[in-house]
Amino acid sequence: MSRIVAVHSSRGGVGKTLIAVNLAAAYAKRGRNVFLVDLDFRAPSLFTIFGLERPDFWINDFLNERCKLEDAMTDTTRKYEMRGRLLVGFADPSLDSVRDMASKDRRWEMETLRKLLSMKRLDDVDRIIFDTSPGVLYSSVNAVACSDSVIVVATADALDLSSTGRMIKELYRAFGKKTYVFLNKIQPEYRWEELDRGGLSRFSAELPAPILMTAPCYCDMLNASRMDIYALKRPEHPFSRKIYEITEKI
Amino acid sequence: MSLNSAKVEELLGVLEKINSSLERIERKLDEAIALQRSSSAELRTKAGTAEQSLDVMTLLAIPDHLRKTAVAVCRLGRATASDISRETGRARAVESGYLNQLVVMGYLRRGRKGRDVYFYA
Repeated sequence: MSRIVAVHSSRGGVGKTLIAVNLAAAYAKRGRNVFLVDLDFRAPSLFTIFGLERPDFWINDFLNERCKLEDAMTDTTRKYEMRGRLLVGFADPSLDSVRDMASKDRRWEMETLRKLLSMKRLDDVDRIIFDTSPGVLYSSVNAVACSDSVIVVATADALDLSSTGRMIKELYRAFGKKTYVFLNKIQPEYRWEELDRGGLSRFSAELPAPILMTAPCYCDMLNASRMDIYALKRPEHPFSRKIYEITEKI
Repeated sequence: MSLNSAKVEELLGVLEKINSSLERIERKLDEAIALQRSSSAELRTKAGTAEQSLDVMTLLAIPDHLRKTAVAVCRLGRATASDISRETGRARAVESGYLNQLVVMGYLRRGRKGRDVYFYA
């Protein structure tokens, strides 16, 4: 059975999608067969990041029962040199589709939960990574409910820490999910030596889950003119090294 | 000590009696659930509420002990109390109680196939 990791956050813009994509790529580079699924139907971005031709079927088509799951799994392995396979379920970024997915009823959401759970039975897939919408939306809570572990991405500002802490206590715990925190885009004012020496205790009061990784703001990534998958294009970059470290922990 | 055939017959007779008592209890339970559901449905109709669907937001709203059972039913689709017990690791009798509570609350339905009672959303 495949293991599902949901990458979630309480707010947008914290680096959740970047982490999900790079994590999926790192697993595949290391020899795992990975299925990365874009469940952020409000702001689908995986299609833009991968820069491939429009797929025959979107993950929306599978969830709307217009195709089988296998039809919505795009194999991107040929584009990159990887030991494993990287399959992606792209979400349709068109406004029509975003509007459609925003107007689903409860019964549809219930059926979607079942479809996502069925992904655990995929043959030859070791890891499924869900990229989600931030906050408490049906699609995100569905992703969390199906997952084996949750990586919640947060920044170190007080509001984000507070709302992330609430999600850990009230959402992930409610479903009994193993939760890890990735503290991202930490400002230079924080003393890294202090953080490395266990200075993370200042966060543990608000974040009742183990801190899996911390990362500073990388200006070169923020200022890049195009979206590269650093884990594949620049594996020596400090951000990539942190991502590869996660593949050894989860 | 070996069992002689008379003893075996006696034991079989006892088992048959237990079995038919269990079947009577299950019929009574079905009637009780149907009665409770029809009075709940009446209340819901008066309140203008819809039939309950077992989506994740509903799952978050139900008590923890029932949520574990409900998620297991969502995962399996259609399951007996034994199937759910294997998923959750809790005793079959405990899961049977929780499953029937979820039926009374309107989140699950019961069905029967032969001797097996199964539950589904």
